[in-house]
Formats: sequence, C-alpha cells, structure tokens
Amino acid sequence: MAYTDYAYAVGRIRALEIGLIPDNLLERLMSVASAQEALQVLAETEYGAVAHDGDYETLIEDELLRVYQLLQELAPASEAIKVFRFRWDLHNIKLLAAGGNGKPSRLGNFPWEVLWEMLNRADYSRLPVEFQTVLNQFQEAESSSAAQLDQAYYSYGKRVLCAKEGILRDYWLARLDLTNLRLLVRLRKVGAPLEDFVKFMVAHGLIAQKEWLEVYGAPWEAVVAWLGYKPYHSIARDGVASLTDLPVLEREIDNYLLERLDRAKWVALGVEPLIAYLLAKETEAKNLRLILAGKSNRLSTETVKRRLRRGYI
Amino acid sequence: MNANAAGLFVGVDWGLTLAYLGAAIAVVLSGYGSARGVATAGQAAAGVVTEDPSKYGKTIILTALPGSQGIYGFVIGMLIFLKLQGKASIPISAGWSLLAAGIPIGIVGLLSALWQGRVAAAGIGIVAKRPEEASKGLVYAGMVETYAILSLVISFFLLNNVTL
Amino acid sequence: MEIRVNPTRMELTRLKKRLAVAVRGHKLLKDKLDELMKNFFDLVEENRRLRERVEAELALANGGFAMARAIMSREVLEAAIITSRGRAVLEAKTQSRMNVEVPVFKLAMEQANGYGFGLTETSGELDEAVRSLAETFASLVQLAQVEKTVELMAAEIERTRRRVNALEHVLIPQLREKAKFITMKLDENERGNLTRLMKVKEMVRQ
Repeated sequence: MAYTDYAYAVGRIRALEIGLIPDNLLERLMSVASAQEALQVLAETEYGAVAHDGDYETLIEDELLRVYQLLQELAPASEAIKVFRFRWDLHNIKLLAAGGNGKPSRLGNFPWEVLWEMLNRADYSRLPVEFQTVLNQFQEAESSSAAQLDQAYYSYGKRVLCAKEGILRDYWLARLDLTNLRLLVRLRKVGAPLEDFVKFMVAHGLIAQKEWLEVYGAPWEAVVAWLGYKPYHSIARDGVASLTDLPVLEREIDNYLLERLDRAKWVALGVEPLIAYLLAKETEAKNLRLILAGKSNRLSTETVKRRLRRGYI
Repeated sequence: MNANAAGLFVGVDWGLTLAYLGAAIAVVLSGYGSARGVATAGQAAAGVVTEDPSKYGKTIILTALPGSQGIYGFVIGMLIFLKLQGKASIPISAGWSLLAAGIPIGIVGLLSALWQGRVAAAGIGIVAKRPEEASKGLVYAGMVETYAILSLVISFFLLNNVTL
Repeated sequence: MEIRVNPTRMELTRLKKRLAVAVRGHKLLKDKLDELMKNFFDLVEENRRLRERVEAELALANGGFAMARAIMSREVLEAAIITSRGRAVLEAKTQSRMNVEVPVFKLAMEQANGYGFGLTETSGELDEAVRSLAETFASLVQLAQVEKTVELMAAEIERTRRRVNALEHVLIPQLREKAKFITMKLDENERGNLTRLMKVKEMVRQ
C-alpha cells in the first residue's frame, strides 16, 4: 500500500465540506435587495473573515486562493491538483503570449513574475511538456496561439488524469468531450467554418475527433439525436432549444461535470475528494459571482436563477 | 557449507520453534495491521479535528477500533506463550498445530485492521459531515471487526485443542 | 425711407430687369426650401428611428456584458477583451445631396472569434454580448452619418430661408419701391412738362 491515501487530507476536506454554501443560503442571497446586503449575509459564512468591503471579486479570488493553497499543502505531491490549478497559469501564459497586457491572475501555480521570466528567457523546462512543445513552436504571437495553448492544457490534463482508471479519468474525459461540444455550439452559432472548429478543438475524450468533424455540419436536430446515443444525452434532453441556448447549455455542462465527482463522496481515501472539493469551491465561486454581480448590475432574479449551477453537498 | 548449515540447527527444538513462530505471527501481523489501521483512521480524525476540535470525542472510538486486532493477536500470542511456559520441549506435531493456531488471527487481523482503518476513516467522514449519524459509521467499522473476532475465536479453539 | 436712385427711364428698365430676376430667384429658392424641408423631415424621422434602435441595442449589449461579467471572473473577461484581435475599417466619403456635401461612412468589420484568448475559458454569453455590440457599432456609425447629415441640412435650410426672406422682405419690396418711385418721378416730370407746354402754348397764343 503506497503512502498516498491522503487520510488526513480527506478528513479535513470532509470537515470543510460542511462550510460549502448550501442552496438555501444561495436563495437567501438572491432574495436580498442589494449586493451590499448580500455581502452582509455572506459574512455569516466561511467568507466572513474577508467579506468586508464591496469588492466581491477580490473576496471570491481570496477564497479560491486560500482553497488552492490549502489543497496543495494537504497533497503537495499531487499532480492532479496542479492540473486543476494550472488553468490560471494557462490564463497568464495566454496573456504573456499576447503581449503581456491585461490583469494577470494570482491563482496559478507559478507567480506571474516567474512565468514572465520563463517566457522571456524561453526556458520552459518547469512547465508541463505539452506547453514546452507549443511554446517552442511559437515564432511570435499568431492568431491561433491561444487555441493551441488551450489544447496543450487539455492534453496535459489528459496525460495526468487519464493515466489510471477512476473518477478523475471519467471526469476529464467528459470534460474534454463537453468542451468540444461547447466549442461546436459556440462556433456554429457565430457561423464559423469547419476549419475554425478544427483549430479550436481540444483532445478527444470518449468521442473520436472524426465524429465531431462529421457532426459539425449537421443540422441541430441531427446533433441532438447523435448526442442522444452518447453518455451526455442528459445535457440536451430538452432538444434543440436546450442545446443552442448557451446559458442553459453551459449550466448543464457544469452540472454534469460536477455530478461526475459525486462519487468522490464515497471515496474514503484518495485525492478525489480533494479535487471534488476544489471543483465544488470553483462552482460556488461561480454561483456567488453570478448572484453578487447580478445584484450590483440589477439583473432579474429569473436571469440569475437560470444560470445558477447545482452545488456539491 | 552443508555441514555448517546443518550445524546451525543442531540442538534446535523444532516443536518449540514452530510454536514461537505461531505466537510471533499472531502478534506481529495483527499488530502491524492495527498500527496501520489506527494510523489511517487517526490521520482522518486529525484532519477533522483540525477544522472542528469539538468532534474529538466522536472520532476517538472510530480511531481506536482498528486497534482491536492488535489486542486479539496479542491475546493469542499470550495464550500460546502460557501454554509453553515451563515446557523444555514439545513434540513437533504440537509445534505445527500451535503455528497453525496463530495464523488465522495473524493474517485476518492484519487485513481486517487495514481495511477497518479505511472504513473508520470513511466513518470519520460521516462524523465530519453528519455528526448525528456518526453511530452508523461505527456500525460499518464494527462489521469488519466481525471477521477479526471470528478468526480470533478459531485461533482460540485451535489453540485449546492442542494438548501438551 | 429715402430712396436714392436716378429717376431715369434707363434706370427703370434696369430695375425692372433686376426685379424680374429677384422674383424668379425667390420662387426657385422657395421651391428649394420646400424640398429641403421635406427631405429634412424625412431625415429627422430616420434619425429618431435610428437613435431609438441604437439605444435599444446598446441596452441589450450592456445587458449582455453585465451577464458575461456575472458568469466569468474579472480577469478572464478583461483578458478576453484586451487580447481580442477583431478589426474594423471605417471609410469616410462625402456625397452631394441637394447641393449639400454630406458624409457617407462605410464600415467593414472582422469578427474576432476569440482568436486572442481561445474559447475554453470564456463563456458563450460573451459571444452574444460581443455580437450585439458589433451590431450596435454598425448602427452607431449609421446614426453618426444621419445625424451629421441632419445638421448640415439644417444649416443649409437656415441659409436658404434667410435668402428667401431677404429676397421676399427686403430686396423685392425695395426694388418695387424704387421702380414705383422712378415711375412716379417720371410721371411727375411728364406732368410738369405738360403743364409747362400748356403754359408756353397759352403765352404764344396771347
């Protein structure tokens, strides 16, 4: 038995899971009049320590940063957690590849300065191998560089998470497929040609690339029918309307992906509960941002509710 | 070489050696299993208590539960020892029997303690999330205990059957 | 009003000619003014319609961005906007309309399709927001064109109206006055001559 059972980490995560914001609190947050009041309600939760001024974005970011750091402290050797955190490094690398403008994220594995230094000196040895390949190919910022970086990220995740059977493998394969599905719907809706779809497509999950290419040109009804034979049939269960309505589609995809991790609740020892907690926190951040931004921009409760993701409790 | 190797075993009382081996297996294996099992459960409990110190009392039984196999192994080892007390020599057949008596609690104790540690860790998860249902986690962990007890009983009967 | 004019027959002919020209000019300008007014009201109507449309579209685009803002984190949204590589080319020309030089804008836009930032981290709601903003932009350019045209037309109308008024209320009455004065003066002279002749004739008869 290898010493990677994360018993302590899982114990702590189980205790922390109680702190996740339950649905009824979200309801309560939605029912208050202003963002200010919502923040006051939030102050009663885990966010209390930081929920002081009106800047909810910093509040959410601080909380996510805390979670990433805690998880890496609990499982310093886990490459899986690095993968999930790497999405913010990806964000920073994209900014650097596009010329270095824009606000860097402080949530990544590498601090912005370190990444900047790496890209300046063209020394990518500390980055995952997929990124080394892509970055070495870059002569200068090309039009499709961001798409290639996305692809590198998803391949990196596939290499790490799909190496052995389990919840994380199932999750990542579903995420690959559903990312491609989202790309398909988005690109088709703006009328992009097939070449664009090919350019953006990430590594394939359970559905082969050939199938995606075939279905790209098909009418929406055919796409829905085709999806009906896939494991993701529940996503377009209401037919074309739910597939082409992007807010609904994105909500359904997020819900589906988090559901893949429901089984992590049964895992007593392993890294899965940590990842599940991380993703639950990310979903919670999404929901909170939605409600708070909705409050400060005076979006109707209906609009906000339509986009709320299912929680993980 | 051969003569030397043979010389190593000159004067060995094979009956007693086998019996001691039986006691050692009973104690060492189940003790190792219990240590690991308690370690797993203990880490999980420590994780929970880090976040919520008030759960200490509820986690303590679950943490201690995988420790029982070590005690069973110790009891069997002790009984074997008591049986041998004052005996200068026992027949080889009796030695084999005592070795066999130590094996059930040794092996089952080892495995059941390891697995019970995992069940206890999961049960500690219940304590963390639903303290009111904590006793159910105890029941699950207790179910693993059944098999340790069964092997303890068999070890005990086997031991009693040996007459010196 | 003192009228300073040479009361000669030649002057009278000249004045009459000028008067004829002025009256014809007045009529032409008046026609132009009517036409301008008609055009102007059409333009104002179009302007109003466009403005309403732009306002509605802007509200929609704003709503879209508020939504995108609610769905994505601040960093991601900002980065996606900053690194976006959409292009727009605006071609500005002028065109003569009712003798007024009005601007004509032509807008060519290239959709960016997330080339700068990729599509995996951004939400589909951003696509919709960006698309509606792009549409709004096209309408905005059109609105700018119409609004400038309306402004130029208004200036032209103002100028034409001043000319018409000047002709109608100043120049033409003045010319008429002068002509009348000369005619009267000439008649007066005629009568004076007649009287003088009659006087001379009487003196000769005696």
